[in-house]
Amino acid sequence: MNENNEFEPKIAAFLCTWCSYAAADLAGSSRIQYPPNIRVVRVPCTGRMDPFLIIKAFNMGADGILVSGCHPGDCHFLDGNLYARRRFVMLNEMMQYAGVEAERMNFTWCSASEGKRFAGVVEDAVENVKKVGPWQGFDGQGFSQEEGETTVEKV
Amino acid sequence: MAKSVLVLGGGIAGIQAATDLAEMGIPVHLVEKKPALGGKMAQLDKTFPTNDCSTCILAPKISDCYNHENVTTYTYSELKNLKGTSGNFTATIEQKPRYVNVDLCTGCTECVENCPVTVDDVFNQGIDQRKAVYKYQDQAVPNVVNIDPENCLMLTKGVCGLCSKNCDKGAINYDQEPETFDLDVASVVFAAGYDAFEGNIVSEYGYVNYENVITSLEYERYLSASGPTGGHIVRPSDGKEAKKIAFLHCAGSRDIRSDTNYCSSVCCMYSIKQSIITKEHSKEADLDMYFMDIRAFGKGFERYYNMAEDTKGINFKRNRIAEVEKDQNSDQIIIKSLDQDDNIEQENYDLVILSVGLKPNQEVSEMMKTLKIRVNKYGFAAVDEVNPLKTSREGVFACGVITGPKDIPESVIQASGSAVLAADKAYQEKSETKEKETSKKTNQEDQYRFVDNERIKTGVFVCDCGTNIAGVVDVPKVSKKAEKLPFVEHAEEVRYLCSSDGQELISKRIEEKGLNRIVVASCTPRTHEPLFKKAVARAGLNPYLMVMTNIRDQDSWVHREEQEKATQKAFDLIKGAAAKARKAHSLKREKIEKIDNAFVIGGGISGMTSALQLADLGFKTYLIEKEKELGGNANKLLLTMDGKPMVNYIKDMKRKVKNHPNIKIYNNHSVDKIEGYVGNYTFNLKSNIDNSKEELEGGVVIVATGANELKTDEYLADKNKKVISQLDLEEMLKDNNTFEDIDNISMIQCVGSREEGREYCSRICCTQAVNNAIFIKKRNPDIEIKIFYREMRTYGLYEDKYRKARELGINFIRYEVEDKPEVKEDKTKNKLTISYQEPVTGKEITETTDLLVLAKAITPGNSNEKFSKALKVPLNEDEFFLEAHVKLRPVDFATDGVFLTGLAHGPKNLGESIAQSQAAASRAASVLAKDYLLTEAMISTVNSDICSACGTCEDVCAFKAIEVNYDKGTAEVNTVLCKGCGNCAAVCRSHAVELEGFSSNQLLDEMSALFSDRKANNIKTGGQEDE
Repeated sequence: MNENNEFEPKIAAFLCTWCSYAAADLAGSSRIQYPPNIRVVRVPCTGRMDPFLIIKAFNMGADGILVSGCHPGDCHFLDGNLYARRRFVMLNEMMQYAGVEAERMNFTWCSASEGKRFAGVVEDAVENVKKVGPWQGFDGQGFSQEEGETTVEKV
Repeated sequence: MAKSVLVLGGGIAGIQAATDLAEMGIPVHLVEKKPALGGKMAQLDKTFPTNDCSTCILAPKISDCYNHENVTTYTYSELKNLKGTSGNFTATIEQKPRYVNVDLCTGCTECVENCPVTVDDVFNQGIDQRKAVYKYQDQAVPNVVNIDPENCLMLTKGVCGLCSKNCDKGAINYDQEPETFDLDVASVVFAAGYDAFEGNIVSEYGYVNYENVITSLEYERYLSASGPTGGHIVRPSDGKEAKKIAFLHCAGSRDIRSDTNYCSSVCCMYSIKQSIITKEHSKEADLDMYFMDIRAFGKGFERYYNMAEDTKGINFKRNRIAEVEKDQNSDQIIIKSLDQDDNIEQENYDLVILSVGLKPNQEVSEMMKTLKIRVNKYGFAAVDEVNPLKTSREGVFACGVITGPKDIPESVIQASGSAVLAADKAYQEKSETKEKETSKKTNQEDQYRFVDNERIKTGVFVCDCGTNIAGVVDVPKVSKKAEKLPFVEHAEEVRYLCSSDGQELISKRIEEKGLNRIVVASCTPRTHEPLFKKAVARAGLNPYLMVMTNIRDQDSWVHREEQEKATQKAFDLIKGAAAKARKAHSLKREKIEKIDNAFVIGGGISGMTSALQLADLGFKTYLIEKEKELGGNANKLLLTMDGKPMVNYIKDMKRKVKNHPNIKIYNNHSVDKIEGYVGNYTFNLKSNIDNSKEELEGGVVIVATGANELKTDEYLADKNKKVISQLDLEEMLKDNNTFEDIDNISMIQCVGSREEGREYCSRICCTQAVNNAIFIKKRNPDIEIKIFYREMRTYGLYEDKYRKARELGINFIRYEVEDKPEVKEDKTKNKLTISYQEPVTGKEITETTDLLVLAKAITPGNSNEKFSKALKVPLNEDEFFLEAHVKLRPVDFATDGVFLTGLAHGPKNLGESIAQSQAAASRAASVLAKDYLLTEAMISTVNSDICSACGTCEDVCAFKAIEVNYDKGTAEVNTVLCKGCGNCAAVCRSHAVELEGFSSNQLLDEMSALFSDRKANNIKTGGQEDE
């Protein structure tokens, strides 16, 4: 919490290397300021985004997620972003059914020249998540994890 | 050793040519006049007809080229002289002083912020300002600053020096002098680009006097999200949003008031693009497009045009501009124009955009002249239709707009084509060179330390980047905390990690402390990962054991006012990177054997050109043609587009192909079956005569299967013998036919093109009709010729032909698709009448015609579907082959090793087919010229114990790189084809597919570390504390 006791969310931001990560870099080189609430996880393409990674992000304590890829047609891998979109449409509904507010799930596109837009996207995502408050876990009882533990290994 | 090649111009054409040459193993010197690579394309916002973001598709190309081991880039440099002859040129280059030491400059722009001088920003077309010390553009490659000597106070008056004082790297050097040096090169590729017309090219349009009249290139910067207005469409006069906008097409092009009265080829399309993008920005915008003809002649353009026409608020007006003036009472611009019936219309606009054309850079034209390179009357490099990339000087090739106006894909095609021609001159004792390189690489890769049995010892290096990071992030605190992270052996703050000292330090620490995982926390991996990978590799550690995290561009630079939070974020990111590094594996790019032969499918001009080019480079080529005779459609042609006879050219080419020792012709053969992938294709051929079979092996495939003339019965085609096609006409003209018994000829354009079911322009017919009409008129001036057209698409320099045809008295009559001319015959079939509406008077006219020539559409080849399936490459909605990327990969398929050329790709003329075929040969050669194929390191792997062979991964792979092997009951990755996008890993239900470098384990651990402060007990505090 900050001095004003205002809730500062922590958001997992999954950015594709070729467009959105580049947009975030451009926001930097243009010195466009945005809230420091995101933690970027770089992926080669939003097509890499297994819905399970998003569910896990919530399990691990992210208050919200932001996934940003290339605009349709710009995908470095031709159509990975479109597959991602399909997955998110499904996942979004499922997550809402599981009690995750829509405000926590932020999907968007940012091209490599949209540094300003990227900053705006982050601002919006932070606003959205602030509206719904801290994430209390899927069962509303918080969440538990131990550092370094991964579930996949155990599967 | 292969000799070097000089590529002049670092725009998209130069970048493509340089990269292709480098991939063929040839050392390249890339010389660019501006301080950064990218050329005009870097200034564009989006590209037509796909609305792709220009930077998104260009930036990866730039960095591939700039970082290529065979490319040496000289920015801010110019060619001063070129002595010698083909194979042995000496090029004199002058590098202008930047007054900045590029080896020290980190691109941090601290100096820029402190510079007191502001001047107009050239990159942004003078719309906003930059400083006297400046970065040419935000995403400049190389990422360094420049001092503008004309405006710098220190350089002009000897006072100031603020930039030097603020640069703690000491990179500023006011004493730099121009440097001149010589390069020995075998050949030269001119890709020196163009200039856009000045806004005042037609003074009547008021560019000089009215602020709200701007050029299209300026508008491009307005539209750009990273431009001076941040993508807001505003009036320059008062910054208010522009709602009503006019586009004046052909501003300076096709205009007798200017010296550049050719067609600039691209303006119709970019104006349409700008109109569509404008509507995306502002739904209420009302746009008027003032045009003569819409020349939407390229692949996918007609659909794009139709889309714009169907968009509410984009109005196409075939009006002539009478007057442009400023409204006395507001900032608006008044345009008075004449509509098609000569009625005067008047409208007010917030913004008027001049669709300016492309012209040769005058300095470059002058230089070409002094270097004995012939230029045409407009100053473009003079080239021949059948040798579209060769200049008049042997060993000097030209590509892109330097040879005439053209769009990006066309420039890219020409660039690849010039590369193969230049390579031909540069290759000498090729095999020797390659062996040496191979052995060198092998040694290096095998030297990496085996670390799998070691305890994990991570080294964390946190960069200050001077004050760029350290000024915001508490770096000492972060690196101290990082030391306590699990598996971290060593953490250290470094002032400039990217300096050679910094890199050495990493290597030293690896050896000293036995580190086996490295975390670099500094700037963006997009630009600096290759550098740090090399540093790690030099210490004998596998470079894939290094993980970079970005605490500058994505942290210190964007949270300047929130230092505590930025510090917390930096630490989180380092935690994440360390966790990810812990699960990193040693990876390696595998070498895959390949077969050096090439397949060319189709023996038309395109196929023959590709085959000859590859054979000349020394690659055995199988040329497969289903017919007996080589030559395809070109056999019927009378003239090239520039009006030269075809017969000898084709004869000569066939002779060369037949006699070439490296070409084996399989005419009368069809392809039965194709198996394999890049480097290892097997073709089963069947003779069409005796059904005998043959199996051949090769490494690459060029698809040059051609196209057909439309079969139709419209306008009595195939019913009345007086109705023929343009191709038939050319055959008739070959026999010295003077048409003694003919008084008049009618030609109808767009027969079957640009209408429902065939929503594309056949591109060549307008020029072909005009050419043939001129030919007839010259042979027999008494013949009256009428050409019925919808839009006259004599693009580029062919506009000259159109003008000539008008001068010769050929009549051009426009018709609408809803109101086509009507053709009838009498009962004897001897008399043919044509009825049409006279456009000026509006009268219905019926007259007899002695010969009716139809411009029949070009339709996709019959075998397209077959080869599409056999090679697993896609077709577009018109059933032409679909390239990997319409803008920047026009001869590649998404599937590696398969290339595309000629009419199989889409309608195009002879010269364009030849250039594309040379390009296809170039792309194919860049595969064949290597000794082995290298896989990517970060690719998918399948755990066959878990894989259930469901095939979901196979369905989503765009590169056909993963397939289920039903015998083994598991999916298998083709490591040559896999690009590492991870789509298969994401869809795998059993987590059997993993993407190396981004495995689920790594991503989960990274996330787990990023959010490790969110322990259950901590949840209600929002958890910013970690200790």
